[in-house]
Amino acid sequence: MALRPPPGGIDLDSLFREHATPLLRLAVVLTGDRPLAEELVQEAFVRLHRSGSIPLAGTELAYLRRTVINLSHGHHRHLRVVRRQPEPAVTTMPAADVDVVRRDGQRQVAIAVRTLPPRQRDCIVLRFYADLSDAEIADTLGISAGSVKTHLHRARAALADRLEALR
Amino acid sequence: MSDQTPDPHDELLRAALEAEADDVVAGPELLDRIRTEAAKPDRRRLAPWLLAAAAVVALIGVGAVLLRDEDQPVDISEDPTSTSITVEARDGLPDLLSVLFACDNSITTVVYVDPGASDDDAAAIVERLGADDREPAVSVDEEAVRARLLDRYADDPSALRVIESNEIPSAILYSIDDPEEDIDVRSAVADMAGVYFITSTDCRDDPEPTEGTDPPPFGQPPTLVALVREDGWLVTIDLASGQENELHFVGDPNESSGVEEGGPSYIDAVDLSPDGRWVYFSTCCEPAVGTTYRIPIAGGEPEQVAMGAHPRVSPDGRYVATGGSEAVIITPTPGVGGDPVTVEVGCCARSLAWSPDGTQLAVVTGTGADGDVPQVQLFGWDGTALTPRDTGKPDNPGSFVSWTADGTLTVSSGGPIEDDRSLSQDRSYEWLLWVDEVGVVRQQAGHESGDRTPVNGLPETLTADW
Repeated sequence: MALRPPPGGIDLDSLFREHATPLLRLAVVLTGDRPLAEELVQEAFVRLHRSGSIPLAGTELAYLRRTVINLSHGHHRHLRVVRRQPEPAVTTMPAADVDVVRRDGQRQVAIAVRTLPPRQRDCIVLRFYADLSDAEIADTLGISAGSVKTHLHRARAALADRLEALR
Repeated sequence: MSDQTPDPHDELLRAALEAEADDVVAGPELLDRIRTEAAKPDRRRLAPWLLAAAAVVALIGVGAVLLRDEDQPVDISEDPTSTSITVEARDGLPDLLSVLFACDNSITTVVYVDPGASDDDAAAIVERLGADDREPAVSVDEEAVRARLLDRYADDPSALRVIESNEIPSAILYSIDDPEEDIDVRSAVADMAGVYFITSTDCRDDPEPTEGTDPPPFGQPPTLVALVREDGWLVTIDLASGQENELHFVGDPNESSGVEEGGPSYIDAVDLSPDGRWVYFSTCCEPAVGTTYRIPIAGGEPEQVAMGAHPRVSPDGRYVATGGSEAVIITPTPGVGGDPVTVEVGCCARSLAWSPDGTQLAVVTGTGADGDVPQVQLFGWDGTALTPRDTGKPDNPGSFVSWTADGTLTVSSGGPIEDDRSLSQDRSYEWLLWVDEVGVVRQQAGHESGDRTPVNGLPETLTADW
């Protein structure tokens, strides 16, 4: 991704106002850990600031997003520990608690997404949360569009049972 | 925006992920923290203590030290003796610097961060060393580290030298002279010290043995492939027997993944050395440059060998070509003397291929996105320099390059494989392998036909069961 020198220095406030919340939400979805997510976002902004260059206009979010995703991989081993914890079983709830059941199911799906292999997780989150196309996901992750399709195919297969239980 | 066929589960998936963060807002306190951190000096720049550490280690007589500018490709010291120390920064991973104390595989140095150091100093040191987690490093029990080392070397105390230097007030260097290469102890100590740990590398003037299996003649069916399985395992597959072998990284305490602990975290391209003894692989990148390592074919400890990604080992095994963010880098493989050679090629060199005789290197550059058509560039290689060559075409669009056995450069627009995860051992176009969308290893049958035929005798699927 091409960088350009900032004409008057990087305007952190402006970048933060425009991109921090979507980035933080993405990081929360990726990690399931708010403090960690804030750390990743903070680091992404700081790195951009220190780089002395900024992405081409209109690509700032993509640049920051890529950095957050790459940084999240460094924390994957911690996530793997979480992965080994027994996940809460789906419990039978009274009809009045249908919203609770639905929310619980959604939470389990999100957990299942985070237990996918990292690249599958990235693809699923970028597709279904960030709403990116195959080409945009490929560009973000630095892989081919064909690989994106493959990862999505496998991730969907891995999540199918859990999703079916929610229907 | 989806390019996929609608799936009944898509909306459920979308709703589940949106529910995870729908009430999350980045507040002013986060902005304050970012401002505060951004206002601090950039600790990724070469820290004075690292220079001091280099000087101290040099003074103890184990060789020369070369520090490189982090904006340049990796620069390996050429030491006239049989021992050397290399301190290097990982290009493209500016805050994941690694420190390689390279010698004759007998000296390993662990840097211990003094818990009495200020948080800033400790964080700076740990950051320079690329520790995975800063917290343990600033709170580590120095006595525990020392006790562990002393216990391990109780029978041979001369093996352990503790180097304390006033020049490095926040760090203690343990020099371990351990010919047995006790990886477990080293890894444990490194974990305790919170230090990103990489063991010694081969001495550059101590060429490795050359015994090993001969590579198959170029253009002949491969006998062994290496690839990254979907779950992240680096694996080799014997095509004759179909036997799959997972390459375990030494130092993985969880014994669960070969790619996440104690070393590289994300593999995105692999290649086999021509003699079949080493698997070269690169780790993903930030934002576009990776780092290349190699690991013995039977597994072991990853060894950083070059900067850049998408490694391709030359047919004679003496060089590894990699793509940097804006350059192609030719790095001598361990045991081969000389400095890396770099040529600027523009953005995103990613498909590289040596000609069968090793005298030419083809490279695809460009992102392929937003109208940026990938271009093929061709270089001559004489062992010392890369020289641009005319491809013989007015323009050179293409996204994948390979060579046929007779030395013809083959350019594909779509690519016979959709990514860079699999390669035949001989790296020729005829025998390219890939993993299809359901996990079956397939090969390109005939370089012009585009026909794809499953390889007989291979596992049904490479998908892991976790």
